[in-house]
Amino acid sequence: MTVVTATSLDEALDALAGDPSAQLLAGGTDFMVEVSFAHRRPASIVTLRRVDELKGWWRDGDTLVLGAGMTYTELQAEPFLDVVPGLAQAARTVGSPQIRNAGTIGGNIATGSPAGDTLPVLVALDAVIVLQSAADGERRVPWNEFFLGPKRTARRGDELVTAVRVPVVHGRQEYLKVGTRNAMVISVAGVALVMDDDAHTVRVGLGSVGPVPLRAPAAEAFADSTIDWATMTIPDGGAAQFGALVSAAASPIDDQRSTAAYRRHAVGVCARRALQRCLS
Amino acid sequence: MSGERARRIEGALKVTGRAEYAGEVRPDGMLHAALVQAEITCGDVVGIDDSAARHTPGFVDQVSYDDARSLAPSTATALIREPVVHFPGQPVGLTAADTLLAARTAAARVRVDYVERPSVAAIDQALDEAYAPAMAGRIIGASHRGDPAVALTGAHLVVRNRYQTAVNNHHPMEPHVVVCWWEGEQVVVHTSTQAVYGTRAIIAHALAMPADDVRVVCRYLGGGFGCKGQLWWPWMLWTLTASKRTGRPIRLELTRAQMFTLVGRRQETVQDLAVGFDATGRLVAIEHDVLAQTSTHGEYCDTTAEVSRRLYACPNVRTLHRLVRTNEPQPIPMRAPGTAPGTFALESALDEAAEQLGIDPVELRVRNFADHDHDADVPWSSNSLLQCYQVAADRFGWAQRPASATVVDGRWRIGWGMATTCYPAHRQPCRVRVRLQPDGTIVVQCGTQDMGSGTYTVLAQMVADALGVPLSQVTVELGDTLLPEGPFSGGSQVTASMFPAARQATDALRAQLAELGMGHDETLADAVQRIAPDGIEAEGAATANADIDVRCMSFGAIFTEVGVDADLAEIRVRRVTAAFATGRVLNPLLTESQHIGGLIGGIGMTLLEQTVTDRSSGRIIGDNLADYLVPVHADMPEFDIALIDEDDTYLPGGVKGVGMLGTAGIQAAIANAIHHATGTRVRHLPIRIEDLLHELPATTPGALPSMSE
Amino acid sequence: MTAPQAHSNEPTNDHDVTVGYSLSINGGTHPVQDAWIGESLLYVLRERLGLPGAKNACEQGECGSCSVVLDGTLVCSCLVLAADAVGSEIATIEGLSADGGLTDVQQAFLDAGAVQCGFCTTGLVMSVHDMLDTTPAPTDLERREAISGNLCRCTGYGRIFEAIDLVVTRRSGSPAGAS
Repeated sequence: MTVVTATSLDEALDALAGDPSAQLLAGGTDFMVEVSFAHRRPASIVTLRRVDELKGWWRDGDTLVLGAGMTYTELQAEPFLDVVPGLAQAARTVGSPQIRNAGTIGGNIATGSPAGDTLPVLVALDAVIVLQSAADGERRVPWNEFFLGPKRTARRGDELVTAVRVPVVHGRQEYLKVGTRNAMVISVAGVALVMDDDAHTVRVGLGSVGPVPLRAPAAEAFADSTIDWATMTIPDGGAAQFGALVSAAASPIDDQRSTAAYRRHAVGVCARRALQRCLS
Repeated sequence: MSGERARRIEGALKVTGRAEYAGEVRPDGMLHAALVQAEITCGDVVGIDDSAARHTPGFVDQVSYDDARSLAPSTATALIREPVVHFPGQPVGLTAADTLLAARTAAARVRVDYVERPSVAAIDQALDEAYAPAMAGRIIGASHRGDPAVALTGAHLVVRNRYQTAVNNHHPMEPHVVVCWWEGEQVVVHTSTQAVYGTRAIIAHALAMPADDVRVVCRYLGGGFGCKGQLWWPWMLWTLTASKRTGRPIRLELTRAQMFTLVGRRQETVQDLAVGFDATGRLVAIEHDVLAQTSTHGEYCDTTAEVSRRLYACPNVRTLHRLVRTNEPQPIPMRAPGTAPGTFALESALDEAAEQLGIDPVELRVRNFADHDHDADVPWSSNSLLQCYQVAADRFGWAQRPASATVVDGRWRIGWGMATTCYPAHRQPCRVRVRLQPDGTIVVQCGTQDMGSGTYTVLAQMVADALGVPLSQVTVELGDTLLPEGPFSGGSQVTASMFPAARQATDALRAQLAELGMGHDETLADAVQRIAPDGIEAEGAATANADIDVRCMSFGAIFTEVGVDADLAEIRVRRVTAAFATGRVLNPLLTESQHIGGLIGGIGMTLLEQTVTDRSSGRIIGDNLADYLVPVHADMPEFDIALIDEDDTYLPGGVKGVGMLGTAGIQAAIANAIHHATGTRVRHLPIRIEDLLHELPATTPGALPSMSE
Repeated sequence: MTAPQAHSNEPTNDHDVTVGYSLSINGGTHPVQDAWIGESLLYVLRERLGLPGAKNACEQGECGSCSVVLDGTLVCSCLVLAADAVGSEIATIEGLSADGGLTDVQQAFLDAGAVQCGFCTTGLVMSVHDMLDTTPAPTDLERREAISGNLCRCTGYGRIFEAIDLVVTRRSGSPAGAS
């Protein structure tokens, strides 16, 4: 096993070009477990903690570019609480302070777990994932072409997730998550809701109710056309119907954490509540 | 008459990280060990090939069945002498290497050949082979008084239901560990154990050594809750074997995943319970049939139905424990063994009866208070349960209990529930040595160990009180078989066992000093300098009374308020008020903390904790702390703990056990509160949010045919 | 009976490199020699450097017993690759109080009775220090969230909140509330 402690993006990409099977290590929250228990001994590891190009964020016109190395702790604070509040809320629900200090949004994206907490927000925001390789330079992949299945993504072995691009949307955002504990809980079901007050649209992202994070197009279309955007209200029963449409968009399974039926129900309730909060 | 709220005397070592736990002993040249674990569910090991493992850099040795044949046959050596796989993950060998990674890598490279046999991976797969064990814990497995069948027929109300509880694992934060080395024919064993003397006995027997040649040390124990006992002895003995052969110290430390399979578990139960009442709410009959899992290599049965025999006054009671052997890990006691699952059934049934009879749940229990132990027909040494109900109900505000499912706080439906808890008060033989040092300070020695409950501190308090010296003058030494033999840490017995021995020792010390001419006005320090300049010591030895003519138990009453999300059914315990009567309280600070810790453990059992096995292979699904959920800080409700001091003149020092009480009763209190909040009665643990949504299919913990005989 | 079956779980290769490096811990330099490069910081602290204050309880970041501060942030040392911590400042429980006395958090844990078996305690002390460094007067919710990554099986957590209360009170200069 070799370890490349990359201190620049070029170093990291060169290392990946040399060994596309190399394991990337950012927060370590998934990977170190397998190494410690000798389940896996990859030939090489590229560590990303010191790559400055992956840290921080910037504005590109109306787009917010978040470096892949941004930690959940950074994302749950200002300015993100104002600019992408749904993402800040989602980051706050991840694990513990220890995990939020180490774990990164890039790791959440690259791992591609259906329970990844930031993913429902990213898909509701129509995020674009930025990949880079030494061979091809930068490649931008929309979220719906990036997440292919449980922990399967469109990232090639020689590529690095360097950033994620999300539009700055004017309007309320919510992330609601159901779990059996009050903290330190893997999502049983998660719902992100993004209101665009300019475009008069509502977008919904769902986590833990499908092999990949999902959207709920019928529910979105219903909300877009049913909300009175002048008064920011919805007719009686509208929020409930919205919730029912979100439930219908889910395709959950039974596992030891919950049942498909509960998950389908829960995303509907969370969606209804999220909409009511955004309209309150 | 409560004792002092003394701070933990070993606390400074623990908050700074200077307390040395067994795994932190670091002899020179120490090797690390790892276990080779069976990948089949049931069968025979027919070949072990470690040639690939031996090529692992850093590899030193591998031991397996052949290397344990010379050990004396016993339950502690059966699994390492006989090449039979009883459950998935059972160790079939142990590797030793220079580093932990090398040992783990080598273990993964050991090639094992098996002949597999058909397995039973869940109790409902072998119901026709259920059998009634002679004993459930320390009680007879079956009981019968009066004629419950006839009484149930004539009862005004019969509540008859099945209650089920899941497998739980103890998960003390410290994993099991042993660090051992040989000094000639003697062996030194540092290990995380609830019984240094018990461990010494088993090693001496297995290796056919004089007990004095075995030294077992456990100065600080990172929790136990029942699992730091016998079940892991086989793997410890393999470690000792490897250490002897290599001539090197070796450490074996279990992984968190192994803590699900190799150290015991709370057994799952299926309980068929019928309780019959007359029109005034008096119990006329109880039938309590318990079915539980045990392994194919060992027998263990919790005392689950014991509460039905004696908690309440009832003339007609029949109880029965039955077991089914499966190819799953072996159960052992876990905090509040028996009373945790048993009170869940009985105290849920009483709540159901109270509702149907239109009697307040507290009043129903008061009406059925047992003024003596009806099972053995002997008096209680003391029983302050009625006072517990009253104090806890008052502090909780129970009189204002609203009608069911009527209180809402935002999105939360609020419910109140209560239940009774109890636990037997036992003692063990114990010896304590007290030494008065030349400088006037006191050293107290006892070969028990402090599981974290506060044994160091209460023993110091006992001796300081008896000798009239400040606590700061007393040093306590525990956790070493070089010290006088003390009790194992289990069953809430240590404090009660130490008390008479410590008192004897301090009395004997005073008598010696008096004989030597200690003056009445003289301090201990002055006296020792004048008449015993080398210091002086005395020992006390107490035997355990069989308590034949009297029944000793601790009791308590637990009241809870829960909130259930109206739409999502998320369940939150909002507050817990409890009153516990545990004899004389030696240290309220430690006692309250024990109760709160016990209650949180019970909340975990009620709402979160479940060890899930694959029904075809018996393998644990999610053998980690991300999937096996235990309560976190954010789950902590508001606690209000009342300590009811009792003057129990029968028990030495009036001391009863504390640690178990909070972990029983709370389950039913929560289930009853959930029913109050939602109208839904859940009769299995853990109660999951999925269970409370009527429009959804409920989770079914395995459909079993009727077990009535 | 079925025929004999072979099972093995062969890992990949043996091209394991051992390395030497130095870690900066509690203000001092600690050389590490002949270490396998995949070792976690927790392993190196406990097994190679004789610093057992960070406890090994789950090796997967779920329990907080191994909490240390890495470049100013609280992390689980079991999830940090030790070789990747070269050049970082590492603070462990051993370095909390240079003179061997107790910090105010440690003292409050003692006074409030927030310690039982002690195995989770060092991690909790690190977490409480970290929380109070950034949030001197945490709300109830902030407290609960801040230390929920530290599992405790003994205390039921009640006394730990009391310990936090004590520290907050004492730091604010009010009369101490210890019993």
